[in-house]
Amino acid sequence: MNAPLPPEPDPVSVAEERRLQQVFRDGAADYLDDAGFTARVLGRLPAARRQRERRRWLLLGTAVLLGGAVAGVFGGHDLAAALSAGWSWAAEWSVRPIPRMETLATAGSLVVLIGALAVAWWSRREV
Amino acid sequence: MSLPDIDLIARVLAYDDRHAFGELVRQHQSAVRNFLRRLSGGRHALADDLAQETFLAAYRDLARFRGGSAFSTWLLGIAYNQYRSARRRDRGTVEWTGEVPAAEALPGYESTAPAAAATVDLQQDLATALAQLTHDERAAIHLCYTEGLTHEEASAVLGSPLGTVKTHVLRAKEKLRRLLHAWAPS
Repeated sequence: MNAPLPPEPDPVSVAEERRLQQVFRDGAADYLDDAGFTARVLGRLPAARRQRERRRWLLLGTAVLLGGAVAGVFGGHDLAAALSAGWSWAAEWSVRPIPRMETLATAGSLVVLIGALAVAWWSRREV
Repeated sequence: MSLPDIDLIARVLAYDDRHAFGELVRQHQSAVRNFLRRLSGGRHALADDLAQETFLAAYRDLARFRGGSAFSTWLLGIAYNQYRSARRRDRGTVEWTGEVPAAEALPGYESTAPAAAATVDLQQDLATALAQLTHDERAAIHLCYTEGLTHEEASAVLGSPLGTVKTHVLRAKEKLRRLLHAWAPS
């Protein structure tokens, strides 16, 4: 036995639906001229990204300098001793034979690769 | 010729290209402003303020646009959220009833051509009828009949379940059919 056919749409309902669509088309608001709207929006956007980053680095740099100055004033003696020990260590290592160049090159490449991946990850954008 | 929306969005995200964002605003400002004017019952200044907030919110959250829907649909969703937030803020202080724009404010009013006069009458009757709908019904019917969105797209814009949107559209149509009986087919 065949499935029953869906009921025929009521012609009055179809006509009314078409008329309602026509009413909305005819009654739709016209295109609104920009009249400075876009300029007002652009004027309210936050500062450009470069400016924000510059400001961030400026704050960071100032904080580091201030922090270093405070550390120097209050812990200058201990700091000088630590730097001197570090300098001696570096001087000692500088006269040792250079390890295999290949090992150094591989290690250096890995460091650069990991750094580049990290930068790419943090600066990714999704669309 | 202007770039497609997706290319403009990519430029904004990659380079913070203000010109590209300005182009996006220019292309979509009319639809967003008309939608908000419809919702706010003809309060043009309020609607334009909300439209500005819409585009500012879109700029801040542009990275969240996934491209699953049209950019215009995504914008209308933000616009509707801005409208709802404004209503919540003004609850008890501002009456959000629908206002019917005066005939003088409608385009074509000054024309003496009969067709233009009929259009003005229709626009005013439609505005009067829409003012009788609830906010949700008005939003749903505008999205489906003026913007041409499907029920699914309107549901995404309004953040309401599909069944709820269909109910709003159905009720709106019933009311409009009664209120616009003068424009009914013979």
